[in-house]
Amino acid sequence: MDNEKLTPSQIFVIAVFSILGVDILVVPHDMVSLADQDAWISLLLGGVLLFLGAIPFLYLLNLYPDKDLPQIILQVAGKWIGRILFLPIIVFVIMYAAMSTRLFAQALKLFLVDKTPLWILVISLVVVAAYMVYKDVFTLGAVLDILFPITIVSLLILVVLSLQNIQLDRIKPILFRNTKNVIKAILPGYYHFAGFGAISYFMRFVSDMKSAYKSYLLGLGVPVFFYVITTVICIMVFGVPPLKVIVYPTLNLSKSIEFEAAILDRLESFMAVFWISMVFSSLAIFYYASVRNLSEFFSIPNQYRTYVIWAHILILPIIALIPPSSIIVFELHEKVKYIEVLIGFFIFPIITAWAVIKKKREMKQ
Amino acid sequence: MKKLKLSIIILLISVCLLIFTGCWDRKDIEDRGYVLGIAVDSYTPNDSQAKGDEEKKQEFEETQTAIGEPLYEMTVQLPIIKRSPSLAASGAGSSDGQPKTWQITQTGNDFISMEREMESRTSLTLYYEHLQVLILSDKVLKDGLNNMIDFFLRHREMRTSVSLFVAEGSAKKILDVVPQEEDHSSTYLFELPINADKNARIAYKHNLGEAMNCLRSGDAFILPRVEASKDEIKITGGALIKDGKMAGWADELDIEVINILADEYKGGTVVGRLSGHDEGIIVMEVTDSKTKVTPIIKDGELSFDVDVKVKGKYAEQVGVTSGGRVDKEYIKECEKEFARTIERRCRITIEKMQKEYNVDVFQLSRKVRTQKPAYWEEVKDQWDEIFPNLDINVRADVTIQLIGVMK
Repeated sequence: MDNEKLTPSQIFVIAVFSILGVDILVVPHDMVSLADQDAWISLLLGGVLLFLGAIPFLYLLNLYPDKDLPQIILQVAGKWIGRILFLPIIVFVIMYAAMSTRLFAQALKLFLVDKTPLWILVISLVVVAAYMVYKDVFTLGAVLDILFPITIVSLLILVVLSLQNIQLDRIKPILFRNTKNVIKAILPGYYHFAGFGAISYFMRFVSDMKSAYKSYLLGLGVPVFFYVITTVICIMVFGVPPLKVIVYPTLNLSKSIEFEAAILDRLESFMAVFWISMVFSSLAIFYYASVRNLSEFFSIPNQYRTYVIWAHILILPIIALIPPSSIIVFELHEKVKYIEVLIGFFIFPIITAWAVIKKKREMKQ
Repeated sequence: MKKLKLSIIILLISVCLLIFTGCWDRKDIEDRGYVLGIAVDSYTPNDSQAKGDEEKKQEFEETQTAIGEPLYEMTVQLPIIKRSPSLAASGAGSSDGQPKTWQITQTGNDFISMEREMESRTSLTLYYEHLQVLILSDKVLKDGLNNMIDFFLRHREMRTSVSLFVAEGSAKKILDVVPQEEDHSSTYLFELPINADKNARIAYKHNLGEAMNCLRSGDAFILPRVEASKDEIKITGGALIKDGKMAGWADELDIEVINILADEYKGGTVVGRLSGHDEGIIVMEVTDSKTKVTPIIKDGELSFDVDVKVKGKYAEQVGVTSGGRVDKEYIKECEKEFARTIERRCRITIEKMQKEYNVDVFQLSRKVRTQKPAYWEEVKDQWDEIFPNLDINVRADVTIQLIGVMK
């Protein structure tokens, strides 16, 4: 096992799936509610912000190439302050995993399986993810490698087929008396790219750091591209006012595709099936991260790691199923992302600065 | 220890078998009632003259409403599968003379209750994924499309590709048609607009998704109007919808112009009359067309330039004998005449929409909104006063590419 390493292409895929997830279903609605037809500009700028956050973060990882995020934090900030700084990350990871599972299960229930209880959908996703995490990172990397093309091809098909329904003038006027809203929406746009830090749990398994960094940054570009392009297409197909009321515009988009030949009727069921793999991948990544988090936080030795995984089979569905209604789930999903801002703009910079100072001191001694 | 492990695995497998096999949403295909078409009328109290069986049927159609009075009357069309021709051909049953569809009518003030009430009259579960047409009566539209459309938009089985039609008087009657070629009136009606690329008098945009987009954006739009005889349905003109309510009828010639201005002029004919030929007419078949609508603001006054570029074939002459005279000059003359006809037709309809109905069915407001946003901010509340007095200049440019096999 020790000789096994993650390849750069697997790092690329992990980077893609740590961001690309259930959000693709709701991004157009969320962004258009804030910035009307210019939503895609905010989203694009949010993507720039993502890269601005990711590059210093890589620098931090570079200082401790054989450690993952929880170990780095505990080492840099010490036992106690480290744990305090670490707490938001634990909450974020676990909430993010649970909420995206719930959100997706809801969409599945709405569009595909009407009578199947929510808990069955949630638990089956979580159980399979648990098995994958149990098999450790290399299995995870391999499975994600397989799932990646399916997801990307299905998204590309959706984008290409939707082109027949677009009306170009719906995206106009561009930036007319709307600049303020666009700027206000950059941060919410950035929330949708939450999860770029997940890579830190995998970097220590990489052999070739340099190419891994490259493929990581390249991987971040994929979700930015798809989120922006989906938003643009949704705006051009539906127009702004309808988008403000459609809950899952991306699923509706696949529903609106029609052909004279009835072969591609009911496209949304195919899409939903493909997207199960997408949400599953992002769930698996965060599942793994959460297991690492809790193990380090409570200093659980490695031989008991299995029990932490089993515990998550209970914890995740319970958190996912607590919110009684879909409205509350949307709210929570939004709130989880505020923690992302706290992490991205405060905790990561603090840790990075601290680490740099510490390293320099060590150098002097 | 080994035994314990084995028993745990067996337990896990059996639990998984119980939970994860099969499907919660399993429903046998023959238990579903495939709704092909829905007609919505406004509620009219029953006449008490019905006797016997009829009376009972009318009694069934009434829904006890918990709150409020019944407002609507919904009719769904289900195919009777065992009488479908494919089964009849294999000898499973002879179906001559018996209806191939079943129309169930229910009254009520909300659609979900009506639907559920219908389930008490049929052994099938109503299933809307294959719904093709939704026919609304003009009265329902006059009451407001916004009021009743929610069920059809919110329902997860409804597709946005469902075609919308408007019937004058009773919408139910359209579903009662027993068509000659197709099996069910709904499929027949759904297939009708396929000829929109041959006949520009069929409204081009009429599905549920488009209607929703227009309703939400506040744009006016048009829905095709249908009429029925015993075994035929015809698309004739359209209903003008403004602010979610019906504002009037457009005739077939109006539809043509509306299609031209929406740049959806896919085909059709243009008729002209040459000077010097008092009786005869010449006809062009349109093969290709492009329309450009440009808003122009000059001295604070808004006007529109409409450029129509039409390409086509010289298709027919009635009462005109060219006698081999179809040459360059003749075609030039014809082109000018066709262009004049198009311009004249456009003017008439535009005037009608501006002065008579005041419905911006050409969605000019959208053009202003997207291309002259600053001006739109000023006038968006007074659009109803501005639109009737707009200057809309139509310029047509006709090119005849082919003249057929005769000179």
